[in-house]
Amino acid sequence: MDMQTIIVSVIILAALLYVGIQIAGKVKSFTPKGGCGSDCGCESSPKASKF
Amino acid sequence: MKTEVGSQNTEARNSNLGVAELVGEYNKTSNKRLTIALAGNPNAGKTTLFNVLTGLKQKVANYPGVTVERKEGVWRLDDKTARLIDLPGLYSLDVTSLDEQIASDVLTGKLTGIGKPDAVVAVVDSTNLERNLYLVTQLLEFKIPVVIALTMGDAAEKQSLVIDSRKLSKLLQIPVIAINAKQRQGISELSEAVSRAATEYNVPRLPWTNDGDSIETDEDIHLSLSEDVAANKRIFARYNFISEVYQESVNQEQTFERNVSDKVDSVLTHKFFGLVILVAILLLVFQTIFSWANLPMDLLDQGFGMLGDFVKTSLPEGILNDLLVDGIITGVGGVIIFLPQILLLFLFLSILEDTGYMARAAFLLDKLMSRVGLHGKAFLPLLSSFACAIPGIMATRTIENPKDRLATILIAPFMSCSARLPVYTLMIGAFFTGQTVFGFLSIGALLMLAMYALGIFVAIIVAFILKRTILKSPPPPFVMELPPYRLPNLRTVLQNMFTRAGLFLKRAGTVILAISIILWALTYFPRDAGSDAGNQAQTEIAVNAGQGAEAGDENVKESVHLQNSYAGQLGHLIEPVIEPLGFDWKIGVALVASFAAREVVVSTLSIIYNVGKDENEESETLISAIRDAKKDDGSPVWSPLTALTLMVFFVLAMQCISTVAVVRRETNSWTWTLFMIGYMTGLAYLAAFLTYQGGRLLGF
Repeated sequence: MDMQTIIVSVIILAALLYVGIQIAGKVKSFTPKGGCGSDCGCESSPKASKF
Repeated sequence: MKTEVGSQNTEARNSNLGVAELVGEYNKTSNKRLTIALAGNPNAGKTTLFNVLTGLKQKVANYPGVTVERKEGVWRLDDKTARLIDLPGLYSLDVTSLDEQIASDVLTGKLTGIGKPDAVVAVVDSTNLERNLYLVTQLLEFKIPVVIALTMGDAAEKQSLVIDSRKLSKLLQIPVIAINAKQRQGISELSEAVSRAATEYNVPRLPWTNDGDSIETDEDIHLSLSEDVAANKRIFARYNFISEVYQESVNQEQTFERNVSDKVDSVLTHKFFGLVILVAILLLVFQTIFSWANLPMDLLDQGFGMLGDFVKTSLPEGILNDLLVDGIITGVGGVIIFLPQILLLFLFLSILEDTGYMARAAFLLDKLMSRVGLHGKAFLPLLSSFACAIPGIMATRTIENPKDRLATILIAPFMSCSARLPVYTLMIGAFFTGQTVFGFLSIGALLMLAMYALGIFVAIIVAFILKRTILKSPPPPFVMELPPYRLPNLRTVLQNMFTRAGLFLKRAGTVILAISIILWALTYFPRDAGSDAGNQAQTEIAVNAGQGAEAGDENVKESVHLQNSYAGQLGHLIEPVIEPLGFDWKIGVALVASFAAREVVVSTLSIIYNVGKDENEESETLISAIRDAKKDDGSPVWSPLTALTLMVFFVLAMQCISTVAVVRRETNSWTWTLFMIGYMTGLAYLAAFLTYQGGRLLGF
């Protein structure tokens, strides 16, 4: 494996890692909040308002 | 005696106001500690007055069971102390939001720990008297003494507004005290008036109620509001009453500026001419964007081309050279060249917003939206969605009714966001550039306007259907305030423009860069895939293209390699599904990749066409590559109809993972999120199918 291939492999892995982290972030935001659907500051409330 | 609000002698002028005239047979014991509620529209000066009346004797808590802040303090009246409760800022008491519900509960004594108030101080902004009086008319229905504290007198004076507070008091049948809280003017008169009103009160006779038959409980309110017709009648009666009161008690000198503003408004908000002007302005904006952006876009394109050539010749041949030139520079550069258009779009949008025209456009479209059942407050989230659907969807939090809010969320992604701009521009640039109608109107600008209009049109139709089926609810009334016209602030305009440009470049340097690298890898590997299949395909392509041995072995080899790459395999897998739309497998790969971000379709096509360099064509730019692209049988991949079909698909498709994430978060529901992805993708496919097949039937 020559130097160019190693560098390209690292770049591709970094890109995959970045996209993976981004997707993980999105998945995290997919999970429902503890509070209601609106930004009323009631995250700790057990009731989650659903449509 | 006439009281000119805004004059410096407020205290003197209030001294003879008719508090005494208004007291009557309604008596209460004066020994108990009074409870006074402070109500008013947001930004009417309520907090300033509350601070002046209570000083440091305040405490802040939450209303029972909810997190709406409750501020209360002790107000020292003439001979007694009162508990002063600051109600949330309200425009009305229609009980459509939590704030309004709490205010209503306080006024009816429903909230635990807070008895029914003995009096209400209604803080009324003199410069927005009509709007503020709507809340007052509702407060009067609660059979609680109301005293008006008239604020913002100095601002009213600047607008040449002269309010006869004595006449206002007589017409409303309640005390009206002009105050200037910061200078403590009118405060002692207010204390006196409240003290008297709380102990001696006669119920005002309201024209829309039967002999003072006013609302006592929130059940009554719900009952009356549940009947749309009765509720609307009551609303109109209140506004009629306010209008009469306003005309009798307010005198506004018609200034030159106001005359001009009114005349301009009568045209810009006209139901026919207003729409014509709106369309003309948008056309002008798009036409200007196209013509002004051409030169900088060409320069950027050439710049990236030169950079690619420089890197290609500077670095030794090999995989790294290929990645940098064909993956990164081509992919990211293909998107960045649209920066001038993004800058110009936001320059014009900021100017339109800053001059006050956007509010007029909102007023015009609000009429249309209310007809389909959408809340007037939906306009601003939808307007924000033209920049990006994410802040637009988050802005729907201002809509109180969950069904109205959900309907707005579900249609917000139809608004053509800035990420779609590169897609539209690429297609228009490749197939519709330089063509005009009537000799001056570019087809590109018309098509761009048509794409924006298509998004709005479909959004309205979808909202119409949703609001009459699964999200049925009556649209609440909405009052819109038109800001004055003014010259745009250069700093604000430039700040907005460069913020959007920064976000665009950040996206290009992060998400689009990463996806370009991955896509390049998918088109580059596997390098030694199936030599037999490759050779066979190579022969087929060369024969079909009629190019034989002279075709350029290297290019044909690359084309075959692309077909056998991971991206090629994926593209061929989905090709049968997208073939009825006139799309080949390369467009299919771009469609799949663009789910990450819509602009990625441009970088994907850049990478695919650059890597493939279809047959022996040496395409210098993506536009020429698209024009020259050929299918395996030698026929062109793209036509103006294919370009139009792709644009229609992108107007309607839910091609944005970030929007999906924010919809999931805001609705707290997977069902609605999946419903939105499903119906938008289905609609996009159907519309693209009808466009392509319809166009073919018509001979295009």
